[in-house]
Amino acid sequence: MVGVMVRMKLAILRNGSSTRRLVGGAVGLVLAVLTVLVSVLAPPESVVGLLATVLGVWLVCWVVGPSSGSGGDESLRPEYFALEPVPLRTLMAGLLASSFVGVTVPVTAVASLSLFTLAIRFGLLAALVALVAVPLTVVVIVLCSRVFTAMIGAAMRTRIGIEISAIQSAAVLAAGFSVFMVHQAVSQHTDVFAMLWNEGVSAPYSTVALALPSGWGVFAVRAAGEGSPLSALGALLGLLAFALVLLAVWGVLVRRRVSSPTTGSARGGRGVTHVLQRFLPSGPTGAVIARELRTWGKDPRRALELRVALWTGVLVCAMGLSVGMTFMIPLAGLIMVALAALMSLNVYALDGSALWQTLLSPGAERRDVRGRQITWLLVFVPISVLVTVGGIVFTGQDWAWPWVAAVLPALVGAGAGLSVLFAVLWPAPGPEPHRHGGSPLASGDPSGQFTVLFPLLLVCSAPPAALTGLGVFSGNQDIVWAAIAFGVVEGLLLGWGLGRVAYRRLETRGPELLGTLRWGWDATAGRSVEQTGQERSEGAVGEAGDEEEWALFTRLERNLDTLSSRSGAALAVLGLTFWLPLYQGTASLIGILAGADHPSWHLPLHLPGPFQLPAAVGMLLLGAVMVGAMLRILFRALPERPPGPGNDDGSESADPEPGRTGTAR
Amino acid sequence: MTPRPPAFELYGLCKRFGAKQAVDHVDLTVPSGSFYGLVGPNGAGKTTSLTMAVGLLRPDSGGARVFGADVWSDPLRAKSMIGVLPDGMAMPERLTGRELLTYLAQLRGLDRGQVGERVDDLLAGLGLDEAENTLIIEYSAGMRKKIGLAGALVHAPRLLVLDEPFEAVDPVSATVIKGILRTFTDGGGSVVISSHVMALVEQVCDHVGVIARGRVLASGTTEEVRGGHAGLEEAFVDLVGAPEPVKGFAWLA
Repeated sequence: MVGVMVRMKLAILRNGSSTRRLVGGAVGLVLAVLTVLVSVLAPPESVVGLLATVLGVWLVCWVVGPSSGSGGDESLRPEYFALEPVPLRTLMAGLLASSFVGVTVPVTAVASLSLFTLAIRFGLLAALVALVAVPLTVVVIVLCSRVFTAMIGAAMRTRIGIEISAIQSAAVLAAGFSVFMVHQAVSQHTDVFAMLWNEGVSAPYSTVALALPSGWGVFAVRAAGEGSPLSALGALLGLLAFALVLLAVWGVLVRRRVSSPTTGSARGGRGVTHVLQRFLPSGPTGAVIARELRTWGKDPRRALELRVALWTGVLVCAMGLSVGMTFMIPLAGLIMVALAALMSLNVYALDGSALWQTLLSPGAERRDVRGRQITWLLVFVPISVLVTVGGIVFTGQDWAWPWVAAVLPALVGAGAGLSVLFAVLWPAPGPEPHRHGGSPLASGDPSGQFTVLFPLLLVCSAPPAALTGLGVFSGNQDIVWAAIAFGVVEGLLLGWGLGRVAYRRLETRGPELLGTLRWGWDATAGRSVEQTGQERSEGAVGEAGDEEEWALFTRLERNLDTLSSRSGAALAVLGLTFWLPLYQGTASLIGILAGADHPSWHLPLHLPGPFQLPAAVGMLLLGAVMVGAMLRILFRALPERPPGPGNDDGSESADPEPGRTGTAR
Repeated sequence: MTPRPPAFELYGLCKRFGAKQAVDHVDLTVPSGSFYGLVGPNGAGKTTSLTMAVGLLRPDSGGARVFGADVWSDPLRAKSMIGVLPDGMAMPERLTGRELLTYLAQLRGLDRGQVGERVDDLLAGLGLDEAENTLIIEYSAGMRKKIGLAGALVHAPRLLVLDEPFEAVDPVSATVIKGILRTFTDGGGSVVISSHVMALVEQVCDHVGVIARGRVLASGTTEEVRGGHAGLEEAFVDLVGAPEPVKGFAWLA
């Protein structure tokens, strides 16, 4: 049975798309090799604490990743085997064994080999201990992830469970933001990385890292190396016992999942959304808003995402208060809005093929997009404003007013526009909502979209922030007011314009989106899409004249519509990486100007003195060129009458056989 | 006076999925006021043809007209006249039955009074009033069909396109649905259903189209398609070709 399940998993992998696996595997492998390098190269006095911390990060990613992403690997679901006459123990073994097939576990196994390379530094006995510790650590990490995801899945059936899951995810996110901000604050004075590398993680944190199950292997190896084999044996037995406990808990959760329904009993219309609904207009847009409010309240997946965004803001405030770094508090509302945009960038995919009702109602596409935008504003913005204003008033930090007044409107508009545009253009389709099976969390994995949208939000909030900075530091009140006006206008324009691009796209390419949501990208990213795109572009030549007024948005629509697969790939690569040189250049430039002597991870600062400034400027230029290239793809002007099919795109002319692409379509 | 256009006209529909020609030049004409049954074996291309014809899947070539309005070039007019029940698609799952119908009615721009009256009628008429406070995601397969049918009816279309409307529906509800649809055609409405249950199609439909391997093998009134055969089932087997009789499996004694 176990062998059969492993072969099933292999067959599923063979029939699926390999691109994601390749990319994910390559990134994971790099991180795993870096982990091994830490164990080999770190100074002897700091290596144990460092490795325990790094493995702790692996564990946290395994535990939190699936429930905040796509609900974990659901290719083999326990329900499939509910009717098989096999004992639960066999089923569990099969599920566990099949979850080892794929990319993530081998990558983690490579990372765990760091225990062995660490042990070599400690001697023979430690190496023998590591031989046992490596597989046990991998099994414990995978089981922790499985049990946690299953517990979240089970908890999601109740309101309180959703709340607890949201707080857990939000705590990790808030800690991430806070660590980043604290790091930025501290690294003005010291080089945090060099300090960590040479002196190790300081006492309470390294103890915590060793106390996590991922650290027990490290503990065992060190104990064996320092001549206390009994402690080493104890740690190994502890790992084994913990694995068995996890297995038992997982068994209970799987049994419950197989034998009970996935949704709770029907709930009446109570709560804020119900009150809000009475004030909605009874027209089509009001109907969409009512539907969306209901769904944000009742769909466990969306309810979770809503709460993660809100709780993260609240927890950032709490952490700021508790460590006395109150400058973070006015920013909590901004973080909330940014997360709200990230959390709702996949709403069309979460609703699945329900899109057909919108496509079949005359003129409903515009109302659907606008209704979703308005709901997003209703759900997320008032509370973000409240948190920010409350935070400023409560902590008395009046310096924050102009910054927030300029950046928040821009960010709200960008969030309302970009999230719905991403939802229409680049969904991450998952299982259909009425075929979730036993996991209410199951959904597509939008992590690629996250990595593109987050830097985009930063870019959108940069101009008003820069203008505010100019006004505040030069003491010119007029510039401050101009910055606020700029932020408001930018927000209005982005929210309105990108929403328009989104609904126009839905009107012209709704059936293709529906196909993608039903059957995934592989089934639809084929010939007919590009074909219809070309037909559209030829049609657009005629109608361009009367749309001069909003030429930029019209161009964006048309270019997105006619995007060739090569331009699309270039756009995705640029979108994922353009912020790196910009960040490196800006941070290095500030470092050079402020005279910081700790290069941290900013590459130009590692160069000899005279080369630093040119390198930083070069980084900025590289980033600007990348942004320019993206803008060129997105906003390129209408081509002159194309001489033939396949030649309407600049990138196509580089094709060695342009004639062949024409006939191939 | 020009002759009245047919209720529904599929012309030259083609669709290829990879190497498979799923729909191969399908032409069908549904006269106004008729009750049209589209029959064919599993995987014949019925659902693909209907999905393309209502505007949910872009055909490689060909198209469809609803009372003369082209679904792909004049979608607003065409879509305002049809009600559709697709097979197996999601709905706003976290709404109750009443909320879903209210939403669909408001989306079509009906006024408050009409919305209330029609939603009440549909819930009571289709026997859904007990389930009106249940979320759609908790509905059984048969109830999903019924709420989907109610959603297709709520804006009072002139043409109904229903994919497998009787699948998983209990016999009592099926009788109710047949009654509703008959009344609808008697009042001048037109209905297209797809099915692979011959007896049902023979019982309720006055026109039949037979599709197999993506092509139309026969179409016309039920009598014409039945021809000299005793029943529609025999005519269908004759058209599609009878499979080799399987006597059973030796190991399944």
